[in-house]
Amino acid sequence: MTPLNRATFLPALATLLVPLAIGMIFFYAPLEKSMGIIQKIFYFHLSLAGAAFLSFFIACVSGIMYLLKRQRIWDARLAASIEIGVVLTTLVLISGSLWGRPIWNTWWTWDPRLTTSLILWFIFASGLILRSAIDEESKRATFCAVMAIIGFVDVPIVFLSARLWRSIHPTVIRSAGIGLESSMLVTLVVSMVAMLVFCAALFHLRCIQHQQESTVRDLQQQLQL
Amino acid sequence: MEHSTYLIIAYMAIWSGLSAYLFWLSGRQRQTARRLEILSNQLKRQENRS
Repeated sequence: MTPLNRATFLPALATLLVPLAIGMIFFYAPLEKSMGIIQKIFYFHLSLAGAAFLSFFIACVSGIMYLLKRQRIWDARLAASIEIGVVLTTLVLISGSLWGRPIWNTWWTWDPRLTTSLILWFIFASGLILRSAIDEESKRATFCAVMAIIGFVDVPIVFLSARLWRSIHPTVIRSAGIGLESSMLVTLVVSMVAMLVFCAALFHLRCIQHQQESTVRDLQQQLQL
Repeated sequence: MEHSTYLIIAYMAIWSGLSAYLFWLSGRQRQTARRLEILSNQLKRQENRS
């Protein structure tokens, strides 16, 4: 697939999948008995969390690759994945809080899952601030790569937190299997695929933008010399 | 508040958050295009001088 095809294919697929997922959430998936309609937040809440974890994984791999190869493309991938991961984690925290208010009767509680998620957000958000504060390109990329590798350690901790410690956060993916009815599971899978395709399109776009910005900066420096 | 109100607010927050990020990206793209235009004009001027 040529780069131009990929640039149009992913957004086009996301445009089809996202409305399909929303339609399935409201018209196909049944109402959950104990929580009622508020449970429908869960489909995109979990999809956003899954996509955020994948973004941070890509950031970690890109960080390792940058430290090994020192190529700009890995720094572009690193920056794009951290940025997307932070946006997604912000939305996970907001949507979770909006689910928690009617179900737990509180906007926020220091539950292990919530606390580790907030720490994850702080780690990568500080990485973005660090990135914007350093002018020297190689130093900025190195700091960011190291931070992404260290920060990724929190991802499995977030995932396992509800099992490792006493938590009130619901766990869908358990060692015994996935605790969902088949129509809910199909809706969840479609929502996850839709969110992953949407995020892949964003990631691709942001990587191209980072590369273009670097090229423009180089040209500016060359012209000023 | 009703449960459905929280659901609507959550969906609005998710999609307006993602839309805001997309708008920010398009703004950056416009900024890069503007910088590129300035650079190509500078380059043309340098070529004309030489």
